[in-house]
Amino acid sequence: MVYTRMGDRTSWNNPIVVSVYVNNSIAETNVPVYIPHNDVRCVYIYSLVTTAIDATAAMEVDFEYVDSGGTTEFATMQVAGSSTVGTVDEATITDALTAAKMNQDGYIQIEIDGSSTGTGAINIWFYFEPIL
Amino acid sequence: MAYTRGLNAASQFGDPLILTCTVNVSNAETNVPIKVPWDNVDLTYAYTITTTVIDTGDCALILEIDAADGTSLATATIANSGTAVGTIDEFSMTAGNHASRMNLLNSNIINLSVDGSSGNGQFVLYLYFEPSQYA
Repeated sequence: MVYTRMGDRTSWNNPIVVSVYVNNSIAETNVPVYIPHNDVRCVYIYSLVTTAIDATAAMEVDFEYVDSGGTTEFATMQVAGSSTVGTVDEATITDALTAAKMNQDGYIQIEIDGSSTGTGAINIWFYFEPIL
Repeated sequence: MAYTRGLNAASQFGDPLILTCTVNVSNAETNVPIKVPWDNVDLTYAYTITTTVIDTGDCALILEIDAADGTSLATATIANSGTAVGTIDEFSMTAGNHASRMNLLNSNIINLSVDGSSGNGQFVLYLYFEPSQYA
């Protein structure tokens, strides 16, 4: 998925970007990230390896939106085992309806389920656009 | 170099746009590509803050346009073990090259080259962007 701007360019020039640093993990680990704006859609997510992922397995990353309505997975990504520093991986949006409307009263939960030694780390960037 | 709004006083953003990235040091040159998510912006300021003490050698940093060994935008050095957690190091901008009008539509990236020390240490990189003076 390559990011291409959505919406009306005359009223919206650039995405809002939120970044987070996440370590790989042996067992399922959840990292909540607040959404800093109301009425936005998550249009693009990518990661960058900053510590190499060990060779034992891929680092599985799922993205869930959590609010009063429950928890809904809306995107997923896999960082391959042995990925070196500088590797870029892009997430796939799996539930466009959920990704299309997010608010400050909800948050994104990053679910990490990694290799068997849990070595490695990534930066993740989220791109948001307002709902027009 | 302290940040002062530099290139465009009448900014369409009003204030700089900021990207951050947490980076671990490496004992060999390592390249970290960071996508520029905005259109018509110049890199006007960059700094690091140490979050894990750097070990036995200085950490040399270069910000480059688009690719490893691309045109240099800025350089910085984080000193070795004398640098405590919380230390700020500012980049020296390469004259002229920071006003490079980077674009999302051109898939421009900032490549961070990290070299040294012996492999321990971590820092957070902050990149400040302003609307391009050429926009």
